[in-house]
Amino acid sequence: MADAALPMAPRLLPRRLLPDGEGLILLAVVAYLALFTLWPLGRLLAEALAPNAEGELLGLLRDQWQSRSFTRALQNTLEASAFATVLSVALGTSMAFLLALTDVRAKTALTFVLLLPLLIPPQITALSWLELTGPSSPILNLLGLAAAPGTTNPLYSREGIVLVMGIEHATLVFLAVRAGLRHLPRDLVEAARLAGAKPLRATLSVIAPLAFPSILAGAALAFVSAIGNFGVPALLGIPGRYPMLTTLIYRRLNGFGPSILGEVAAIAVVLILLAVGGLALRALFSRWSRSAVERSSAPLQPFALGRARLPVEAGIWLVLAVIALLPLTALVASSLTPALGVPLNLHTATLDNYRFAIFSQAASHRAFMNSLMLAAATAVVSAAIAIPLAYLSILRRRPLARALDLVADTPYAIPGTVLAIGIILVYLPPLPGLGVSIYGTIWILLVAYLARFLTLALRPVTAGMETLEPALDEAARVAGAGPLRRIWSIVLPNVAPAAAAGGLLIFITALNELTVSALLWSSGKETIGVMIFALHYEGNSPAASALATATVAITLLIAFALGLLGRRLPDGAVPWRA
Amino acid sequence: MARVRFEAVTKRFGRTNAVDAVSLDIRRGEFLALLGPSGCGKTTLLRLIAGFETPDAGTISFDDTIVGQASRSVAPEDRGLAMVFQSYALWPHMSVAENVGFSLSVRRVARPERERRVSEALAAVGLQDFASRRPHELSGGQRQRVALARCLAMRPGIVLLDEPLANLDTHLRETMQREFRRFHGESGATFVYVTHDQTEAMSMADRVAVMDRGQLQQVGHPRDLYREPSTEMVARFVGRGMVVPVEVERSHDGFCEVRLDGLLVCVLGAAKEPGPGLACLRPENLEIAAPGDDVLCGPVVDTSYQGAATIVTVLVAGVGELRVQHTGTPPRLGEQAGVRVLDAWLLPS
Repeated sequence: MADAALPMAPRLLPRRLLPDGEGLILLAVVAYLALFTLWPLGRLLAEALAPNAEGELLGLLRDQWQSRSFTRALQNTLEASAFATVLSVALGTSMAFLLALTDVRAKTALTFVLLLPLLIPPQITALSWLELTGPSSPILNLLGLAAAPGTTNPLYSREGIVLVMGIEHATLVFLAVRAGLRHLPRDLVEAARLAGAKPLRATLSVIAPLAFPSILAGAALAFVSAIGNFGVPALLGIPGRYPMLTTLIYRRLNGFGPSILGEVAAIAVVLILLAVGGLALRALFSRWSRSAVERSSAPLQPFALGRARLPVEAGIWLVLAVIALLPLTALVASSLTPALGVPLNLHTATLDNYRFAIFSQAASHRAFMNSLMLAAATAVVSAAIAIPLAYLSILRRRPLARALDLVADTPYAIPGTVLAIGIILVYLPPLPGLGVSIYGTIWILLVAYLARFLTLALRPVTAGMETLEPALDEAARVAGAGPLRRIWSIVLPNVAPAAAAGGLLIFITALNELTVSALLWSSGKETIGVMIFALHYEGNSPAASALATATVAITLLIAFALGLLGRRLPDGAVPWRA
Repeated sequence: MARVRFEAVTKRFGRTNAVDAVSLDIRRGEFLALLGPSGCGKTTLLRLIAGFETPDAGTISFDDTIVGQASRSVAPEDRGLAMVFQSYALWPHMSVAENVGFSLSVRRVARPERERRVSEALAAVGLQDFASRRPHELSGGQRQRVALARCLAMRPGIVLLDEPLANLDTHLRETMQREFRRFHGESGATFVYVTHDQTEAMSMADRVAVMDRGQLQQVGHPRDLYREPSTEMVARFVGRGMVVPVEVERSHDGFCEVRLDGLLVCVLGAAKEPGPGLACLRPENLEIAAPGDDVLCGPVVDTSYQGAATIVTVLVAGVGELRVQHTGTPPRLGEQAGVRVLDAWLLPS
C-alpha cells in the first residue's frame, strides 16, 4: 500500500436513504404493535369519545352517564371491587407478614398454595366455589352440611363476588407486600430490638409503617384487577342479577350485536380510566415504598415464634385449606360425579365427564384443540417478537423501542373486555386490500391474544437482556456481524431460557383465557374458557368441572416445568419467583 | 494497517462536549495511547473510531475514506477493525475457539482456513490447549488473551484497546504489556490504546495523546510529554510535575532566565516576551541544599521513603510545596531546608 504522501480528496459517504438492518427490524416491531395494539386502542378511544346521534360533544359518554343500567353497573363495580380489595389486603398482608417475618415451616409449599390464583383463572375459581357451596356439593354433602336441593347457591350475589374476587386477588397483595418486606434492611429491626422492643412491638412500630406503601401498592393492583375481572362477575353476578361493567358490556354485545359498539366503547373508556387511575396510584405507592428505605444491610431475619409456632402453622394451613384447597377438591369431586345430584362415592365415581368434555362432545373437543393451538401460537410468536424488541430497547437503547415497551404493556394492564372491543372495532370491517373480515374466524382470537399477552414474554426477556453486557453486542458488531446475525448468534443463546419461560407463561395464561374470548368467539371457534362457561350455563357442571380440572392439570404441569427452568433465570423473570 | 484521521471532531452528550473539536492524525501502524483522567473523553474518542458513536461535527477518516461524520456513518460491523474491551466481552455461550473464530464465520471464511487462523491466533497467545473451554472456566489473564486472539484472528488494520489491563493485577499487567507490544510489532496494525495509567501509556506507546475535558492537550513521544509538556494539565498529569509561577526575564536559544520567588534560575523553554509564566519542576531535577541566598528556602513538611530515594516536601513561601528526590539521610520534619533547581521547563504561554 502506497504511503499517503499525496493527499487525496477524501471520498464522501453516500447519504443513507433506506433504514439499515436494525432500522428495518425496528420498523417490523413497530408495525406489529401498531397493527395489534395501537390501532385497536386508538380506534376504541375515537369511537368512545365520538358525538352521539344528536351530535353532542362526547355524546356517547354522556348518554352512558344518564343510563340507569350503566350507573348501576358502575356503582356495583366500585362497591364490589372495594370490598373485595379490603378482603384481599387483609388476607394478603397477614400471609405476607407471617411468611416473611416468622419461622413457620414449609414456606415453599405455603407460597405455592398462595400463588395458585396466578395459575388458575377466575372463572375456574368461581366454578370451584360454586361446586363447594351449592346444594349438590360433594364435600358439604359428605359432611351433611349442604343446602337442600333446589336452593339457590348463596354465591350468586354481591357477597359471593366479593368473597371469590377478594381471595383471588389476595395473591397480588401478598406478592407486593412480600417484595416490600424483602427490601427492608435487617438493621432497622435490630436497632428497634436493642432499643428494647419485643418482636411484636418492632413489627408494629417499625416494619408495619415501612411496609405500608407496599400494602397500598398491592391494594391498588387488587382493585384494578377486580374492576377488570370478568370471570367471577360472569359466573356469579349474571345469575345473581348483580351486573358489573364487564358483564354489562358482555351482555349488551351479546344481546344487540356490533350495532352498539360505540355505546360499549364508551363504557370501556370508563373502565380504562378506572384502571389507569389505579395503576398510577400503584406506581406512586411503589416509588414511595422504595424511596423510604436505604438498602444497606442484609434482609430481615424471621422472628422465632417459639411455642406459638405450631398453632400459627395450623391456623395458616386451615385458612389456606378453606380458601384454596377445598374449592379445588370440590371441583375435582364434581368432575367425577356421574350426574348432577348423584352422591359421589367410590362406586359412583366416573371418568365419563372427561371423555365427554374432551373427546366426544364436538364443541367441547374443538374448544380444547382451539385453545391449545391458540396458546401455542401466541406463545411462540410473542417470544419471537419479544427478543428483537427487548434487544433494541435494552441493549441498543433505541428510544422508539423503549416507547414500544410501554405500548406492549398496555393491553395486559387494561381490562381484557376493553381490548376485545378495540379489536372488534378494527377487525370487524373487511381488511383493507383483502376484502375479507377476520371477525367470526379463529384469527381474531389470535390477534387479540397476541396483543394481550406480549408483555408476559417481554418481561422475562427484558430481565434476561438486562443481565447481558452491551459490550457483548458491540464486540459482535466489531467482528462484522449485522443485526440479525447478532440477535441470532449472540443474544438468542443467552436469553433463550427467559424467552422459553415467557412462552410457557403465555401458554398457561392463554389456555385459560375467558375475558377476551367471551366477546370474540363464534360458533366452531370456541375456547376452553368459553366452553366451561357455556357448559356451566347449560347445567352440565360435571362436564364443566372435568374440562376445568383437565386445564388446571395441564397448567400445573407447565408451572412445574417453569419451576425447573426458573433456576436458570434472572430474578423477576417468573412472577412467583420475584 | 490504516491511518486514522480526526478533523475538528465534536461529540456532545446532552449539553457537555465529550469530545471537543479534536483534530488528530494517527499514523499508519503506530501504537498510540490515549491518556487522560476518567471522564476526559478518551473512551468516547475510541468509540468514535469504532463507529459506536457518530460525531456531531467534523469528520473521521480511515486512510482516504470518510467513515464518520454528522448524520452519516459507516456501521461498526463494516469498519473492519478489532477491539479489546475492558470487560473482554467474551461471549459466554461460545467456546474459546468459537469466540476467536466468530468474525471469520461472519465473513464467510471457509472452514479449513478459519480453523487454521483460529489455531494460529490461539497459539500466538499460548492458549492452544484451551480451544474448547468456556470463558467462565478461564482466569482473568487467560480471558484477556482470548480477547486478544479474537482480534488477531481478524487480521485487522486497526486494533482498539479500551483499558484492557484495568481488571488485572500488577504482575499480570506487566506481562500483558509486553505481549501487546509484541503483537503490535508482529501484526503491523495501527493500535489505539485507551488508558488512565500514565506509566502504561509511556512504556508501551510510540506516541501518547493526552486528553482533558474533551480536548486534546498534547500529542507526542512519551519522552517529549515528560520533558516538554505543553500545558499545565499535561505537566501535572504526566509524572506528577509541580507547576509554579515564574517571572520571565530573558529568552534565548531555547533557554530562559526566570525569577522563581526572587531567585534567578535558568530553565529550558522559550517565551515570546518577558512577563509572568509557569514552569514545570520535577522531583529528580531538584536538590536539597543548605539554606542560603542562592537556593529556595522553607521548612520540611513531609518525608516519604520510596526505597531508592526519599521524597522530601519543602514548603517554600511564594511558590508552594516542592517535592524533592533525595538520596542519603533526609532532613528532619520542621527543619529549614534549601532547594536548588537543577533543571526546569517553562510551559509555552
